[in-house]
Amino acid sequence: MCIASGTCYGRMENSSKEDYKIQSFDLETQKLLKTALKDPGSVDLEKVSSVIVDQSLKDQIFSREAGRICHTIVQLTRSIQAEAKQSNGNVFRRNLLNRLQLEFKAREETRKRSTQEWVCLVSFICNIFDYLKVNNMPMVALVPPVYDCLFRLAQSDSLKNEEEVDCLVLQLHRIGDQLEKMNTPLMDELFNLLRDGFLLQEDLSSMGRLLLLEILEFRAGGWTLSDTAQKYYYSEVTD
Amino acid sequence: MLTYTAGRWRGLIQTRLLFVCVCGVSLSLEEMSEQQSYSYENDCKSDENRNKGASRWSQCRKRGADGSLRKAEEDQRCSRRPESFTTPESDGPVSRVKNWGDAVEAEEMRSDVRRDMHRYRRRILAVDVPQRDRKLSSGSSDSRDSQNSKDSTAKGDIETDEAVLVRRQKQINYGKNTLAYDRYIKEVPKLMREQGVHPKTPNKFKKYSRRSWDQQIKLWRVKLHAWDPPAGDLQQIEEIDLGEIMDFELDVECSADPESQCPSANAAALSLAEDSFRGTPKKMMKMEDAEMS
Repeated sequence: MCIASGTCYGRMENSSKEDYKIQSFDLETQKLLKTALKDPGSVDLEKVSSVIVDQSLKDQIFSREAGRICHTIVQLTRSIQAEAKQSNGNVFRRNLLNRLQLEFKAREETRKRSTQEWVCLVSFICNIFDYLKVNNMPMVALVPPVYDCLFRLAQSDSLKNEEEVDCLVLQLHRIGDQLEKMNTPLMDELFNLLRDGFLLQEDLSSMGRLLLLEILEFRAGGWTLSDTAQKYYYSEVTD
Repeated sequence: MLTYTAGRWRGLIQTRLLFVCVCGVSLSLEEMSEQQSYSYENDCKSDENRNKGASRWSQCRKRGADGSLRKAEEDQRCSRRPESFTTPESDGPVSRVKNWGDAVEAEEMRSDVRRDMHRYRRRILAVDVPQRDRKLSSGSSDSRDSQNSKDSTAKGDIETDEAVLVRRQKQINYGKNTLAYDRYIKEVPKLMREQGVHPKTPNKFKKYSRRSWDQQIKLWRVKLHAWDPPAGDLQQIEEIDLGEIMDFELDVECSADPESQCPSANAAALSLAEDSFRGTPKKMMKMEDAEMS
């Protein structure tokens, strides 16, 4: 669904070409990011984390993919044997997370101001949860905030909004199984809300209902869709 | 058109209650829109028992306002903000952290330390196996020690307290995060290390008293100072050639003396530092050999 014109690849010696989807940044910032990816020790990492967060709140495509570029930068900053050991190499991650926390604290205001920004914020937080791991385990500290966002999206005023339902089911598709492992009772409760919403809420759009039904089946199938369900939801129907 | 039956309504109430409790967040469905901040707090106000009950100010007081001795458990039970708490997802008490950056770093330390412990346990067990002679003479500077204290560690007598291990690891990290350490490990491969001459990182898994451990760390860091970069231009290092080696050596020996980098060191520590400088010519020679070959 994310088709970006003029994709731009980060040049990295070790890994294969990664599309970081940074086209939406202005040229100067793109340059900064590319430098960060090549030589993180040479840039102001606080600034880098700041521009990434700013952009992810504005750009829907980037908000869904920013996790990857963040992961790469974190890996790089930790592997460099810095000649000047200014820090323990976690500067970028720390700044990123703290900035994210500020945005999270202000999420209700953000939601009132702009649904798009709110949805971008949720996508970004979930994407970070997906990509930034601690010793290959998800960050425990992010689990409550992520659930918080999803529970918010499952409230009735959000469910009637197709944009928010779409965001909710996207995140559940991507990180639902990981979240469930981290805290199963909460996931159960979330799905109770979704089930109730689907059954009882009258002002849902038909698309909203469809999305909810699909995610209910998805989880019931162990976070995967059966072939028949896949055909039902995703094949084109010619009238 | 579906209507709320008694059963469904109870279901929703149940959901809401569970959400409020399980999440540990003081939100209810109606309040969601007004709620601005996210907190881990367990709000528990005790309006009664103003004498005995805990308020922010009464945490440390031995007696309540009526003069009676305050029991320790009451403070704990009542509303004092817990210093640590256990969430379903954490493996144990989590200290109150103010921000996600710190929380994740703390998480990482704990997870690193746990991983190290598993590796260490496996290594200790491997040493016990007779065929593994190679492991004993390998680069691992721990193996000689572990042979000495093989019995105690084999019995499982290693430090397992996570808080202790994390604290010790932090102290080790301070030492390893120095330019001196960087230069040291580049210059002296583990195989070439000589006991007593070359600094060795204290083993955080051995049982030591707090004082003993802190002293070991101090001595280790003092020894590492031998590899501090020269006070002058850092460029000096890159441009060094055979002809300049002698000068470099002199520089190092000079800086060893009066302005010792460890102002708090006592006589013992100073002589220790000097011992390691006696090691300097040896390592210089090795460098020469390396350059010549």
